[in-house]
Amino acid sequence: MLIQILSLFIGISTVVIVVSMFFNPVIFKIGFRNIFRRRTDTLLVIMGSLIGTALIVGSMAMNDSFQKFLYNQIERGNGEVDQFVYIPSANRNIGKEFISNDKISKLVEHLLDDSKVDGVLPVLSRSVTVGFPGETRVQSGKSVQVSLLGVDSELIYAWPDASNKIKPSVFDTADGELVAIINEELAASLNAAVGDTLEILADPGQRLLFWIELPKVRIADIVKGNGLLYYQIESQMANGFTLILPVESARTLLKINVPELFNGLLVSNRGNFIEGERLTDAVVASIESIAGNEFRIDTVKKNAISRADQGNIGLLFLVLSVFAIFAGTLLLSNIYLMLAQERRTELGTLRAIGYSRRRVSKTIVYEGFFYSIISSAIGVLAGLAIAGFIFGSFVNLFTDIATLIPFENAATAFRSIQSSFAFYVRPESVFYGFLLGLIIPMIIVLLTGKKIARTNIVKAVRNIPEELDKKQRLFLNILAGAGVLISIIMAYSGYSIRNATLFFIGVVVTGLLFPVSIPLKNKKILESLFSVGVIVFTMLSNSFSLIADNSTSSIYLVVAKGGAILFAGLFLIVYNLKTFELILNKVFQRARSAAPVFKISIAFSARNLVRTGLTIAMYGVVIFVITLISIIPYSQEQMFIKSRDMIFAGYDVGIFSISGRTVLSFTEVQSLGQVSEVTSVENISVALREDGRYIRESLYGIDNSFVVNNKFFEIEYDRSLGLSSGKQVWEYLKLNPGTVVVSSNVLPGVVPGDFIELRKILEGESTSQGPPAGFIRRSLSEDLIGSDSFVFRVIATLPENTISFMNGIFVYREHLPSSLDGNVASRNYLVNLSGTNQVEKKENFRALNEYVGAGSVVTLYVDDIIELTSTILKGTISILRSFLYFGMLVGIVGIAIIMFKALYERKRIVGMLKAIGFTKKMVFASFVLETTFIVFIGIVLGIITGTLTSVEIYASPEMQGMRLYIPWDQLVGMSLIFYLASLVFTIIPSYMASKIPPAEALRYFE
Amino acid sequence: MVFVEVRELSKNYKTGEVVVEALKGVSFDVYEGEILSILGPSGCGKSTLLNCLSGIDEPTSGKVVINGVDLHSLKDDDKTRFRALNMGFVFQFYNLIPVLTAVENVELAMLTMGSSQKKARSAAMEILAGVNLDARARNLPSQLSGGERQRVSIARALVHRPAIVWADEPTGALDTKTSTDFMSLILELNRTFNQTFVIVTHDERVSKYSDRILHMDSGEVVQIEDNNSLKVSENADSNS
Repeated sequence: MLIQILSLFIGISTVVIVVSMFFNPVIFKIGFRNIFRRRTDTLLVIMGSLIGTALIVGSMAMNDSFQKFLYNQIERGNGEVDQFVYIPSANRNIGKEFISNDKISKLVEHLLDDSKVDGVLPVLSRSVTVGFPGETRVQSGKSVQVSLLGVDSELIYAWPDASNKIKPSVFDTADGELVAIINEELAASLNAAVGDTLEILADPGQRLLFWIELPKVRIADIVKGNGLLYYQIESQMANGFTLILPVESARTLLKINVPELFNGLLVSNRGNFIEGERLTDAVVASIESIAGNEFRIDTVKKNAISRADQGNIGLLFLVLSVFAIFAGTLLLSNIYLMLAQERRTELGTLRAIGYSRRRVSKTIVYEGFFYSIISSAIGVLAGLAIAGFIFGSFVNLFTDIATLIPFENAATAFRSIQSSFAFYVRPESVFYGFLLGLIIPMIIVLLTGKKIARTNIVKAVRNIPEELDKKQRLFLNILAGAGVLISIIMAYSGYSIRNATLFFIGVVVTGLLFPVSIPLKNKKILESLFSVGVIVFTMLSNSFSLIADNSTSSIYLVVAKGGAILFAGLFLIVYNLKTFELILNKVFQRARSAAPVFKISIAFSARNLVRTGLTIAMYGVVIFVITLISIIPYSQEQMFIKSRDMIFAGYDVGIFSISGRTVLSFTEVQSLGQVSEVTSVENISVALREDGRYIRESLYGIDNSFVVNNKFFEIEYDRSLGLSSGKQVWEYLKLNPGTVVVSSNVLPGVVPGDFIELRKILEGESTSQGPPAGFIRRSLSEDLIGSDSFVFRVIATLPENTISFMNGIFVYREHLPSSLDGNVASRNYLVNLSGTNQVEKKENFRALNEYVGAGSVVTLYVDDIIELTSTILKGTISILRSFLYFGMLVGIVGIAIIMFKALYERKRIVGMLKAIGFTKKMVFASFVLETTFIVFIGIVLGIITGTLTSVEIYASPEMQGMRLYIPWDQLVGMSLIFYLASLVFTIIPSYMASKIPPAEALRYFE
Repeated sequence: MVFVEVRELSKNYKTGEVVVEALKGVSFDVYEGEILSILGPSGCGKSTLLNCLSGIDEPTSGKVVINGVDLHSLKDDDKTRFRALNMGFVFQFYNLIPVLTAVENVELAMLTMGSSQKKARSAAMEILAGVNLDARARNLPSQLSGGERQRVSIARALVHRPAIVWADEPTGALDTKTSTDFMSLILELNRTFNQTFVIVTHDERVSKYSDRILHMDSGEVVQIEDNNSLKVSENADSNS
């Protein structure tokens, strides 16, 4: 909505400006011809101006592409399913209660009459294992988890996206044979064809009961997996495998004897994908009017779209662009300030001969308008090119990731998702991007025009600089003083209402504005002290509990902290530019022949505070963001790599059962040639008492092999035990019943020396399926837990943020009370591979993986996980950085513009310098040195403030245990590249300046 | 003693198809320690002549020998070095570096010669005192009046004790009184340091301070006038 309003505003302003050109032909002529006055300058102005539009359009295009991709996935996964209605069960094993046939009929009848609904389908849904006969029970990797849907055989044909896919009479069979239709994905995974027979394992408990014959279905048809025919039930690992058959067949297959037929109802809203989503609230109200309180209505489509909109990575690009766009705004301010300065004399002359202030200001407005229109148009094209390039990088990254995913089915699913990932941009995005890209330059142009109009005629004609007079200075002091007052109020309010961001910003703005409000002439020390104070306050801000508590949870606070460090650093540098000059002059005054060159170059930059300050800020802002997005993921990557010994407690491979049981015995694994050591870990779900309630937690029952071979050495232990190292903790655990080691990731409040109470979870409560306990801390009701409680002493804790697959409570298996032992969620193996080098180990892993097979067992190699994570992190960050590198053009173009302007402004000075003895080399060097001085400071500012911000983020309590790693080589490399790129753009004006014949230069007038 | 010998100096400019003869075989001498004015109407080639004499422009033909050195036979860097050591310049529009203070502008000439910062600063302060600007040494050019800026310019031209000072319309941007004061200063420095001055001007009042006046018209020297009888004396100046 905001975008539309802004676009309308810009559109109207554009029309007004164009119309006014017709009424001011002379001013229009001056403004228009000024564009062609110096073509190099015009080119640079356009280049600098287009970056903002390019980044806006690029971000919007990325946003559109990702949104379309995500919406495609939703459309594929949900299709016409807008709502899923069911009665939740307290028994997690079942998940959904059966709905009485009467209620189903009522709901169906009501909804079929509702004009907002175009499809209703009662279903019997269940997650089952499917494979060819004889392969379903075996862990051979030839069976898969499938979403089974038993449907009403008449209503299915009325379902919107099934009616043209499911052939009539496809379910008609003779002899009561069970037939089903499957989707193409499932058929490809099993290598099945129409007519093949599949075996169904509905109850994992029957896996080992090999004497019980499993039901079979014949494949009647294979259809494209979309919508209903791709539908996944929530508890299953979403792999897109769906099997549909008539509900009567499903009941036979699943051996359901209850009179109720269905356990859920799918509802489709009228209209297409988006139109249907808009009707959600009305349809839900309609369903609620008939369904009772026992029903739950999942607005599956709306939720999926909402998640997609929030998690759209395109937004991330937009956020990153904000910094580059801000730098672009600084560049434009610099450009138009210089333009105004350049045009001062001629505009003063126009005022002298009778042009009003308003008309004179229009010369700048018209000139700026042309620059803006041209640069916005080119910026759109540049933005699309940037987005296309970035998008291509993502596609390449996805390809790399797909090859590294260790699960074949997941890799296949990933690849099929990847194939629907295409570059897309909405026409509205291009239009809005073009208009939004006009806003910033137009505002700056209008403000510059106003400033020009106020200039004193005599001073303008004689080109006498206009300094702030006493009155204006006092006004500035008063304005700053008002700002200080407002920010104090802001800080106080923030503290009172416990808003950390408001408080922080209030304090920082007070610190930055206070010295400006003081009406003193020489206040460099005061200004510097306050800038340093703001930085120190930011670095120590976590001492305030209000800020510490919100440090990483509030993105606004993180941004505010980064901004505070950046701007305080910038102010500190600008206030002390002359100090830099003094120091550098002292350093270089010994280099006799170079001394005058240094003097000139540093003086021009250090004493032109506004121009230099803006240019330093341009570099600083973009480098700051690049530094931040380089350091944080690099730290995560390094932590991950250095956590190799923590991921599987120091073992090479983890073999995990996802179905609850494993058919692999310990002896069997131990006897394999690929294995040098093996330990088995029982993952037992227990109820942990915490704050008066019971929470499901994972209890790991470890054996002696784990005690001896694990590498969990970085461990906080109870000092009173007389232990001298982390390694001894495990031995102590083995020798002392009633003791446990606990992961702080899942139990952050527990410390060594504490006691914890555990109870058994009664049967019936799901012990498998779904994510490991500890990821989702589910409360348990009292009737699901045993009455016997067991108290354990915590002897040690694994640090918070330890990267490991094993996060829970560790107990020595032999000390496990028998009444706790029994509810084994899974028995997993941790294995060290044979082999003396990486290649051998990798080969042994491949052989092991083949032996173990897929299906309901997952085999993970620690180096594969690290490689995959590294690839994802590095790849994503590389892409984000590439995007920001385009933003660096702002700084590079900015410095080029300054040096070209300098060339013209200082032509006579250059002539004089050559006259008094400056050689060509000295003139060239003075320009290059000036660039170096500004760019170097800007880069250093960005790196230091970005690093300090990273340090500050990592200092927050939530990041405890995480270590900061700084990629100095990347930062130095990046700095060098930007410096050299900046230099390349300034070589031309530097060379031109050195070549100016002194006689010509001395005659030069702008 | 002849300090500068000018022989058959010519300078042509090509403007499109048209060749403009700015200087047409000019020949004359400049004596050590004299004030020589080059007087003529606008566009007669005075500034072009000055530029060729000082080496900041290349003549089309002819010779300029300064203290025995054939100026235009030197390579560009050598010529620049020669200028730094032996010449000073005063420009009509001062051409002071706006971001440097008065003393920094003046000491620049010394630094360009390779002098140390300490020596350069000391010399600059001394010469600024000589032109009564020591109190304004730390002011930027924008904070000085036109006359003060021109005095800074003179100080810069003289700080390294050059053999010869070239001045192109030095009073062009000054009012009458300031011009008079400025020329009196020139006279004083000339007498004190035996500085050779070559001044290009269109203002006859300025030429009255010279020892000789070289009249130019249309790129040629039409007359060289001995000005001793017309010259304003120091006593006459101080009485007026």
